[in-house]
Amino acid sequence: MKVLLVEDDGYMAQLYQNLLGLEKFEVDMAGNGQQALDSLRTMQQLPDLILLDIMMPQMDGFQLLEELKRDEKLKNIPTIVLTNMYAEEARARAKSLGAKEFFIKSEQDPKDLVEKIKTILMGV
Amino acid sequence: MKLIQKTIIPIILLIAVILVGIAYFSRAALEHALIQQEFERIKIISERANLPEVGDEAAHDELGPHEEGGAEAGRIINREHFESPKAPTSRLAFQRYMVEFKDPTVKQIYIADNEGKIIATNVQNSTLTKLTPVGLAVLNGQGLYSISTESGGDFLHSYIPFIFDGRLVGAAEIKSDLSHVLRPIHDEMNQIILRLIFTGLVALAVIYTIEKLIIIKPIEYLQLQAQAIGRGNLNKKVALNSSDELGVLAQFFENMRQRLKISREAEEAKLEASIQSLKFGFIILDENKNVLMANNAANAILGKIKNSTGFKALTSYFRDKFNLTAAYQRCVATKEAVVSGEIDAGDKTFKVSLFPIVTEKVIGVVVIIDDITEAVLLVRKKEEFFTVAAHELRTPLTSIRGNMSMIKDYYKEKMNDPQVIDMVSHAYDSSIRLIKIVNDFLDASKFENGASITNIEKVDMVKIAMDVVTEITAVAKAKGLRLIYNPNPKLPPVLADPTRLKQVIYNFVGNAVNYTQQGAVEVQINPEGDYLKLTVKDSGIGISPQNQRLLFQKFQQAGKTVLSRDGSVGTGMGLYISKLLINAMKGNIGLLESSNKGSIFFFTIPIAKV
Repeated sequence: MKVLLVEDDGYMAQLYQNLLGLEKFEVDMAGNGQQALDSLRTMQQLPDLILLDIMMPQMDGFQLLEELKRDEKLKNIPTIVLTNMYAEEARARAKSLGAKEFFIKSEQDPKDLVEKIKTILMGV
Repeated sequence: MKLIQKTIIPIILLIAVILVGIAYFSRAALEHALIQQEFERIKIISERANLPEVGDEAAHDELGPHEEGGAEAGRIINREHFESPKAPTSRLAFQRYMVEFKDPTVKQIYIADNEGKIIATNVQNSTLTKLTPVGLAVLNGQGLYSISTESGGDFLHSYIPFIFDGRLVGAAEIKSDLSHVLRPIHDEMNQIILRLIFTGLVALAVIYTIEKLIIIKPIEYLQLQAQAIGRGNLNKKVALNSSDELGVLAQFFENMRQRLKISREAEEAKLEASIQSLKFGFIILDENKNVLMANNAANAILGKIKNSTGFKALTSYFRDKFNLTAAYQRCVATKEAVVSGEIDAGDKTFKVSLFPIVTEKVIGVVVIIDDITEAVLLVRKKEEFFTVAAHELRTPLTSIRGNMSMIKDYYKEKMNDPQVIDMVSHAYDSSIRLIKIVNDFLDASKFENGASITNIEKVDMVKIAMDVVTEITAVAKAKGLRLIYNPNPKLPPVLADPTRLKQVIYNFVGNAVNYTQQGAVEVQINPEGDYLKLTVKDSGIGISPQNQRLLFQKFQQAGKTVLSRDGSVGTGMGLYISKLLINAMKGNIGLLESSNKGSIFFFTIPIAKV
C-alpha cells in the first residue's frame, strides 16, 4: 500500500514517515500542496491514500483538496486531513472539499491514525 | 373678517332697526296728531255749515257743537228735519247744509237718522242705505273718525253727531281727503329713511375701515406671526406700533419669540456640537433625501457633502457594495433601523446604519457611517493570532506526544530499564496535559477577546450527552461510581455549536466523576421555557460557600490554594471556559445547589425554533 504524506513540519513528517514505515506502508513525501500536486502528476503509480496537513506554505491543504477534486485522475484517492486546527469550520470545510477523515494531531496518538488509515483502505 | 361679521354687523343691524323703528313710531305719532287736528277741523267745518249766516265769526266761536241747546232754531238743520226727513223742507235743509261745507277736501257727506239709516247724501246715485257699523257706534259720543284707503288715496271718515235738546237725532259721515295732510309726511319719511340708509352705509364703511385698521389688521398680523412661530420660524421680529391691548399682545409675542429663539439656538448649538463631536459620520436626510446636516466625520469620509446632491454622493460612494436607496426605502417603509453588514469600500471598511425619524410619519432618516476598518483589522489580526498561536504551540507539543506515544507503542521492547519506561510515560502524560493547558488558554483568550461562536446549528443535545456519558463511563466504573443518564428522545433540538456543547457537557460530567469519590453521578435534561436545562448531580462532599464564589472563575479549582492545586485533575480553566462558551451560545450556567451530600451544576441552552 502506498501513502502520500503532505506535511511541511520536518519533525512531524519524519514521525509519520516512521510510523507508516513501521506499519509497512510505502511512503511518498511532499513539503507542501504544490509539491504534492507536482509529484502526483508525474507519478507512475498513484498512492492509495493521501495524508495532508492544512497549514502549509505555498499551497495549503484546502487548496490541495480543491485541486485534487478538479483532477479526474486524482479525485478518487481517499484523503485524511491531519491538522492541529480545532475549529469546527475547518472540519466542515475539509469534509465539504471531499476529505474522508479529519485527524487532530495533538488530540490523538499515532496509532489512532494507523487505525483510521486501515479502516479507509479496507473499505476501498 | 370673521371678527367683523361676528361683532360689528349685528351692532349695525340693531342700530338700523332701532333708527327705522324710531322713524316709524315718529311718523305714526305725527300722523295721529295731524289726523286728530283734521278731524277737529272737519268738526268745525260741519258746525259752520249748519249756520245760516256764513262769516259771522263771533256767533261761530260762541257756539259749541250742535247739542248747544236753545240756539237750535237758528240752524239750517233742526230736529224737525229728522222727524220728517222726506218732507221737501227737510230735503232742502239737508241739501243746503251739505252745500255749505264748501271745503275742497270734503268729498262725500251722508246724513243718517239715529238708527243709522241714510236720509240724505251729496253722492250722486248712491245705493248706500245705512251708515257703516263704525259710524253707528259713534252716535252717542263726541264724534269719531276712521281712516280708509281707496285707490291710492287716504280718506278721513268723520262721524259728527246731531244732538238737539240733549237728544241724539242723527249723524253725518263726512268723507274727506287726507292726502294734503299725509303726503308731505310720507314724502318726508321716505327722505328720512333714504338718508338713514345712506348715513348707515357711510357709518358702516367708516367703522369697517377703522376696525380694519385698528383691530383686524393687527390681529391678522399677529395671527400670521403666531403661525410662523408655530411652524418654527423664529427669525421674524413681532412688532406692532401700538400701545393698546394688541400692542401689549404683540410685545408678549415678541418676548415669547425671543425666549424660544434663544432656547432653540442653545438646543441647536448643543445638538450641533454633539453631532460634530461624533467620531462616526452622521447625516440627516429629509423625506426627499436632501441632506439636512452632515457632520465633520461624514464630510471627512465622503468629501464635502452638498445638500441637494448629498444623497447621490452617498450612493455613488458605496456603489454596488451597499444599496443605500433600497436601505432608505426599507427604513422609511418599516419605520425600523436598517443596519448594513461590513461594507468594503476599497481601502476602508464601513458599517452603515439608517434610523428613521418618526413623528406621525417618517419625516427623515439619520444615516450613521461607522469606519470599522481598524476594528475589522483588529478582529482579523486577533483571529490570525489565535490560529497561528494554536498551530505554532501545538506543533512541537504534537511532535513530543507523537514520538512518546510511538516509543511506548512500537519500541517498548527496546527499553530495558523500567525507569526509562516510566520516564517516557511521564513525558507522554505531561505532553498531553500541556496540550490541554494550551487549548484551554487559547480558548479562554479567544472568547475573552470577544470572539463569537459562528458554527451555531440545530443540535440534538440528548444524543451529545449520551456520547459524553458513554465516553466517561469507563472512568466512572474504574472509580466505582455509577453514572446515570436516562435520555429522553422526545426533547427538541437546541441551537448550539455541537463541538463546544460537547466540550461543556464533558467538562461538567468529567468534573463530577473526578471530584466524587463514591456514589453516583446523574445527568438529566429537562425543558425549561424556551431552553433545555442540563443538570449534573454528584454525591461528592459539596463545595463550601466561600469556594462557591470562586467557581466559574479563571484558574479555580474549588477548595484548592495555588500551592495545593492538583495538576493531574485539570487546569482550573474548565468551568471558566464552559461559562464563556455557554454565554456565547446565549445560555446560562451555574451551580444549582451544593451541600455535604453533593452538588448540582446546570446550564441552559436555547431550544431551536421550528
